[in-house]
Amino acid sequence: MGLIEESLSGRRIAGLRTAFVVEAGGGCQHQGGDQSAIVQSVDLVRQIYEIVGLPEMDVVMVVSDSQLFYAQIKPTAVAGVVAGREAGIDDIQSWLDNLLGRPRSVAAGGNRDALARIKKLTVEYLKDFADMALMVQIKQAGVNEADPSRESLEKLVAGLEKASLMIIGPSQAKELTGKLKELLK
Amino acid sequence: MEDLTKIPGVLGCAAYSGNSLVADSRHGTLGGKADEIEQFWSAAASVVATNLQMGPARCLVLRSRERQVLLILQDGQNVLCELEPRVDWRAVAAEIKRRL
Repeated sequence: MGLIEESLSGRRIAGLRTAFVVEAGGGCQHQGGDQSAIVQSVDLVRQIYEIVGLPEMDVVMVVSDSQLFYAQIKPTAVAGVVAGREAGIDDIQSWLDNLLGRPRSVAAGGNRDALARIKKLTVEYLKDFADMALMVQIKQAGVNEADPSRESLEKLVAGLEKASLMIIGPSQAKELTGKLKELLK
Repeated sequence: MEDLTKIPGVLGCAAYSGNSLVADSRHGTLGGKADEIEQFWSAAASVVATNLQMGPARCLVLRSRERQVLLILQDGQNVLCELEPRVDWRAVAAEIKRRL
């Protein structure tokens, strides 16, 4: 049984059409609905969430005459449903709390999530140099981006530590490395 | 626009046309980035509703534990309302639509 089916087991969300989890790294698990439409919608929601910049407001609902799109945005994933407009908000949120509250909630994609967050942090610190540094270090560490191993991610962080030292100096590099290592704990 | 803060649970409201605030339409208290919420989320709501074949988007809600914003989407003019965090947005939206 998949993550979505398992987490929905025994729950009732009125008029449920689609349930989905889209990881920050791009992996999507869903029950019902069209994957391409789900991923496009979630990408847009995440972009607007980041542009508007109200990080605490992480629940978004879009309501039509008969349907409700409800999504919760977390750093590691966006999860939600398309359901009947009458669907109980508490029922949906309870499911999301359970799903997103799980440690490494999208367990199969845990290392991919970590890689996505490593990239994001690297871009924040290295800015224009990030793409080049990531490209080189990912290659040197032997990271398989579709299914990265823990060992390769540790090598990547070690490589980024050395690279960032030369680009942004010891103080900023130490800060970045601390955050990257924290991601792998 | 009518002062919607008279509706229980509505803390503030404003109307927007073409992403610009309609003169004299603002009442009560709006939280931070109200203009940005209207500008960006109104367009996103329509795209999401179209992508997911939901039919036209009628409203959008953004919420956290401390804040709840309701955006009523209408042809020509959107109405943004700052709601009490725990108020039932569906009941408020129905009342607002009745009055608009």
